[in-house]
Amino acid sequence: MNTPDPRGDGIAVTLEALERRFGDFVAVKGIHLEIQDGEFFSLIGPSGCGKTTTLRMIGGLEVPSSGRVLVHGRDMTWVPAHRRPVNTVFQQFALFPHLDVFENVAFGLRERRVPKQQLRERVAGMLEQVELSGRERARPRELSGGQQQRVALARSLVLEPEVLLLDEPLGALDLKLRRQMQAVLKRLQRDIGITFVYVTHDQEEAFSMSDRVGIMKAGVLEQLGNPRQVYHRPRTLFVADFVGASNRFPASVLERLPNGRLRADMGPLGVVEAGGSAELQPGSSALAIVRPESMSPDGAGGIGLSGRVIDIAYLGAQVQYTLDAGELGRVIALVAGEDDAGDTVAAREHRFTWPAERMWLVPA
Amino acid sequence: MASSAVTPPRRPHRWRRVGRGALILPGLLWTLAFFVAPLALMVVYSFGQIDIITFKTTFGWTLENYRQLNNDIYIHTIIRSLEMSAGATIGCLLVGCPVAYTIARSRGRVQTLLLLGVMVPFWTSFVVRTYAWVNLLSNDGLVTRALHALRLESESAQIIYTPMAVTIGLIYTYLPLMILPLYVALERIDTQLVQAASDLGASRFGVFRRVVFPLSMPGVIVGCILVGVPATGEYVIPAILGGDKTLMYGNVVANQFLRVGDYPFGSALAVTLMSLVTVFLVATRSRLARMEEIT
Amino acid sequence: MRRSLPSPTAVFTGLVFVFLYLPIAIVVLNSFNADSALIGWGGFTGKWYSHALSDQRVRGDFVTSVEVALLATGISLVIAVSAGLWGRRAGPRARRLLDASTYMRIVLPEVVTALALFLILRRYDVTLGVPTIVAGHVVFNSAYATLIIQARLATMTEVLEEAAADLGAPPRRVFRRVTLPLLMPAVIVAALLTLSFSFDDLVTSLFLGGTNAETLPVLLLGLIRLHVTPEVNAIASGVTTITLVTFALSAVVISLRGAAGVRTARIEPLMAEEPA
Repeated sequence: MNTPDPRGDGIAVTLEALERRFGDFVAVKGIHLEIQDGEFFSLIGPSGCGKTTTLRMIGGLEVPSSGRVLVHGRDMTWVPAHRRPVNTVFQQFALFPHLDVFENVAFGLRERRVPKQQLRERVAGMLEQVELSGRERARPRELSGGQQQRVALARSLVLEPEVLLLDEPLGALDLKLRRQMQAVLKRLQRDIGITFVYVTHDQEEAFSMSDRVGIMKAGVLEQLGNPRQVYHRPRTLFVADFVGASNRFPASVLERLPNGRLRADMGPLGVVEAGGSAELQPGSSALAIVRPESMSPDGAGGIGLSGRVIDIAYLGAQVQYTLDAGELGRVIALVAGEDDAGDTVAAREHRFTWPAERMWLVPA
Repeated sequence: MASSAVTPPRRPHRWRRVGRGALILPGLLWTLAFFVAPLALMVVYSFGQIDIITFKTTFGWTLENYRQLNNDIYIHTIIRSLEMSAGATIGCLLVGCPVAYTIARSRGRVQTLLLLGVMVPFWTSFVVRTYAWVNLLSNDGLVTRALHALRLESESAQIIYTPMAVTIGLIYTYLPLMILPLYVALERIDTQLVQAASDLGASRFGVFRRVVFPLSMPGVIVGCILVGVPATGEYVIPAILGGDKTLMYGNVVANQFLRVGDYPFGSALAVTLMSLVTVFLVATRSRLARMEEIT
Repeated sequence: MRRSLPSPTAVFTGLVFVFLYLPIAIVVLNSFNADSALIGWGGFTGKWYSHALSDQRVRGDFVTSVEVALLATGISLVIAVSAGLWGRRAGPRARRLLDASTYMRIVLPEVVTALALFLILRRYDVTLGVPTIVAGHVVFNSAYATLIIQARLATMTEVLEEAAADLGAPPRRVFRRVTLPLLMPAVIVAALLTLSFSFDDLVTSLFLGGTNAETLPVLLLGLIRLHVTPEVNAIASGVTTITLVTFALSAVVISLRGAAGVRTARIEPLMAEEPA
């Protein structure tokens, strides 16, 4: 199934200077965003950052205070929800309790007056795709959380929307089920090819499924990019912290080198050369982000520090060391778990190092 | 940045708001026409004057009608109404408390049955329940005979058509309205509090006096309002059980309109009742809200 | 803890229940009592019922009562649903006005509201009859109905209506396909309740019926005052049965449907996935 693309330029959703105010409170501030056709895009951020509001404005469930929403180049800003070629999967599933599974999925098709035979075929086909054939007559309350989720999906997808919006759809499910459903969603999106816009506060979930992510904080889009970029090249400290654990060390930017990297003075760690956020200028204070998994205990090379090991946590696949590195503060290192012959690191002073390429500077 | 191929539709703001506002129209119009306007007219009438001969009403702004209220007869009736309604309220309280307590103490099926049992009489026809007491309280009625036999009333005393009959009727009719809020309030009291109190050395009566009673106060107040307020304006019960001898406020007001035809004076009477009720409710509302917060 | 003797409060409660049910029982019993003076038990008879049923006036008043109840209920429901839906989205001040209006209509003594209506009707020379009674009934019935509808609406999150709109249903269709079906239990309960209240109402029906319209309770009041006893018991028992049955039906509806319809719209995290 291919999504129609009237303009043919491959952009499914465009948000221009989108804003939403509630009285004095600005929930969404000036968002500019282009979502590609057929991509799995996620909006992530902490609670209250405006991601759900943004999603609802794309779906037509909220009206923007200013700005525009375009779907495949068509201005949808003032088009009411029931006339947009966009459908939503809600966090609470929102299945109609007074209708059975078949009627739930058929709801939108009935609105479009799809003829009986075709309607039946489309619903049956969709139920098969979400692996719920045979449950047509069941009521929502008889289904498990995962099954309800799939009915909600089927209900939206059967209408072949140009864009599918998903508002934290897996929030109600337990961990194991969530993982299963993530795989199902990703597979579905690949098979069907519709653009997915996904909202979640769970960074791991978004990263596992998305082609690109947008990170929001307090109504503003902080960074846009694919998971790898965002993880390894965060634009701000907030982004760095949101997408993963990070050790941070103060640094003072000295100059920007011709190769694009920065030279910075990291005090006790010396003067280093590392990549960093484009906003950093000579003289800016910065923080150097080093991910725990980048630190190795064997002192191979690069930049290093010594610390007193104050905690060792055996996580299974990895071992987590917490160090007290004196004036550099507390440091966390994540090392691949060894066999049960014992750790190379015992409770005493140990030196951990990391290569400069695995370090990234963000504004302080 | 994309340029749109189609002209964007206009903001539908105004249309939507009008549509939504229209929803309140049926209720609003009906309430204005048949509730607010009549009451307002009544207030206006209360300041008017009636010509006894021509039965034409002139609208002045006179307090004459309200002054007439000061007349002994009416004051007497008002006081007696308040007495009877207060008596009914207290009666309901006394009778209702043990019942509410029993229900709150019971569990499961028994509790449901008891609650239903209290409600069912309330659901039977109003006129019927009152009329039944005419039988029971008439001169050879069962209850009258029982009271005579128990020497609670002298042999010749008639009960029907006396204030006592009306009060009994009031208690009978409004009892469920007292029991339910009491039960709800009692149910909400945490048994741990009761246990803690006796653990700290309070006797059974002490527990009641210092824990149960204060905490059930909101329920008591709600019950008293649900009984006292409508009882003051009762018409049917005094009409049936009081004959034409025991009149309550409601009957006097109705008489002015339906029999005497003195609309201005009747209006004054009605407006006075309305004001009393409103003032009382407003006064207790804030007290009640504060109490609810504490419990 | 079992005691051999029931506690004093339990005994008292038992007595209170006797107090509550004795009058009704006696009326019902007497409706079958062949002794027309009602001094003792004169044997079982159904003649009071057949007398009552064959009485033109009783039949006519029954029809009038039903007419009034049906009309009042229909109008009250329309008002209650529309006001309830409006109140959901209305601003706080507007909502407070609505609530105050609902509250006042219930709390003000019926004598006052009925007489005020009487006053304004007489002033504009409107003939009293079924329409005027209905007008009066709707004033308080719509208030009770509004409360019931609002209570139900409060449990219905708007997300279902958003979902319907998202799937392509314009506002009117959303109402017809989602809102109304979900509201149905409350509508039924409100209908049954207002039918009962209307059927049983005396004060408003008495004052606003005039000479043209007489309902069953009004007839009963007149008969009681005239001491025409035996048939009265039959009529009274009949009226009681009707109101009792209607109330009981609404109780059944409440306990059956409950909040079952709405629960699945909220999150129900379940531990394990059933095999699909």
